[in-house]
Amino acid sequence: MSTSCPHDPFKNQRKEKGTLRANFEDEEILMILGYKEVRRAAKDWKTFSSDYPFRVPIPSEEKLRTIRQLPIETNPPEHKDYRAIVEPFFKRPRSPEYVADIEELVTRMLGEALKKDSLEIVQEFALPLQSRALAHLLNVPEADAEFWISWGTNAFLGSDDDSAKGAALEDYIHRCLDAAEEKPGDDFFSALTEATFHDRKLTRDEMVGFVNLAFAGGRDTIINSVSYIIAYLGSHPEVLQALRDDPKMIITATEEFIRVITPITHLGRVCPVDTEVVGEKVEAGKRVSLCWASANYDETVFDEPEKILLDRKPNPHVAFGVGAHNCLGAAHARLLIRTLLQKFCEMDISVTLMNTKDNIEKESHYERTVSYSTLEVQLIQGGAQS
Amino acid sequence: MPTVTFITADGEKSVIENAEGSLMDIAVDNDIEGIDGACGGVCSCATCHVKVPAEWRQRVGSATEAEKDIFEFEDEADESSRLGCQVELTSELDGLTVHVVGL
Repeated sequence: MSTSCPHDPFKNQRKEKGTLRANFEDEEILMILGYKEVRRAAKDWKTFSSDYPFRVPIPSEEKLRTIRQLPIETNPPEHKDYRAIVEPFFKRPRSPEYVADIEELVTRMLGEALKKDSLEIVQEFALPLQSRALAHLLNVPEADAEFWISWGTNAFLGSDDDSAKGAALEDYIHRCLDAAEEKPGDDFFSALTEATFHDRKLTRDEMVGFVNLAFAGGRDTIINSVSYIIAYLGSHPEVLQALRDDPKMIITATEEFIRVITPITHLGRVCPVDTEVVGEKVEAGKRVSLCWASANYDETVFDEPEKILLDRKPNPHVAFGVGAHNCLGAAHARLLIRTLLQKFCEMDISVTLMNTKDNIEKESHYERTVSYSTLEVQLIQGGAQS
Repeated sequence: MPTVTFITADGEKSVIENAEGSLMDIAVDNDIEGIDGACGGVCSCATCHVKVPAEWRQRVGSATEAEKDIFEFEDEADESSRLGCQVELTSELDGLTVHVVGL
């Protein structure tokens, strides 16, 4: 498919048809591409169900885990009750103490990065930042993140044997939960071991399902976003001065970066009965995709969607999903990105790009540039004024 | 400077005097229950949904296209719905009362 924007390979198909039938591994999935249709389907959980373990991600994850991820792979009304169990942790980013912790983390990591002649952002900055920030979110010691960093940018993929990597992750989660059961604290694992759901304790499988999502869900998404933004600051040095002149623009810039990147291209839903979507038939048991990435470039909603307008407002993007399942980690992700931009401004850091390689999602029917797989840069303090 | 009153879903009334900015900004600054303002006011997250009483609707104005797109799929939305981030509190709106829909 020819296209001018590497982030939006769906443009022609979205305009002409509104859907795309594409294969992921051996599964044919009808991708829903238009903004309104994506929103509509995301709200209609009876027709487009999440209540199928392993089948919300695309491609499906049967081979990567044995446990249903929670709360994402459930439908209302159970979904709401599952989500309520972990919501207090994901609201922590609203507290001033938490904001201060993240500011300290970002400042410290940028300080370390400034000491190096060059660094590869994806592995040496974005991945450790994501993992250490997650330790704060789950309220465990930051040192615990050092082991998580060793998993790489994706919790399941990237080794010689992806199913073995998934199994090792489940083993580790069991160990965390064992330790929490033995000596409960104020952390995420302990909260799960003590939680009640419909007047009973959670089963071990349910606990593992929550932790699995906490580790896998906000991982490459944040890493891709952080990497993309740092590269953008390197190629657009004027941006930091604009943000310094108008610090409120950090808020709109954060949302615009999230829209443009849309780190999760799409998520799946199963149609329990024969369904018609945008004039296309979907047989019972087959999946559709809610293509957030296409929706976020829909020209009927976003003027000049391919342009990055750091003061874009309104910006009703769906990068965090929409409806009951909207991203639990959104507040944390927003805080992290806003803080990153704020500290680049305050510390007067400029980015020199040295060696970059695109991170391209290659599927049978499209290729989409998400961010960078390699991003070697030099960070210099005071460079903006020199 | 105008005064605005928020009534939360459980009936709690908060009167904010000398208020400035959007209804979302004012609500977040004053910890109004049910208004989160997660996206910072760009009309993306719909966590600042309020309802405007009929007598104020003309002065406040109707929902923008972006808001309508969001309300189309919000179960509780009706013709009185606005996103707080899209309503700037001006002197003309002094004395406004809005009902918080809640998250």
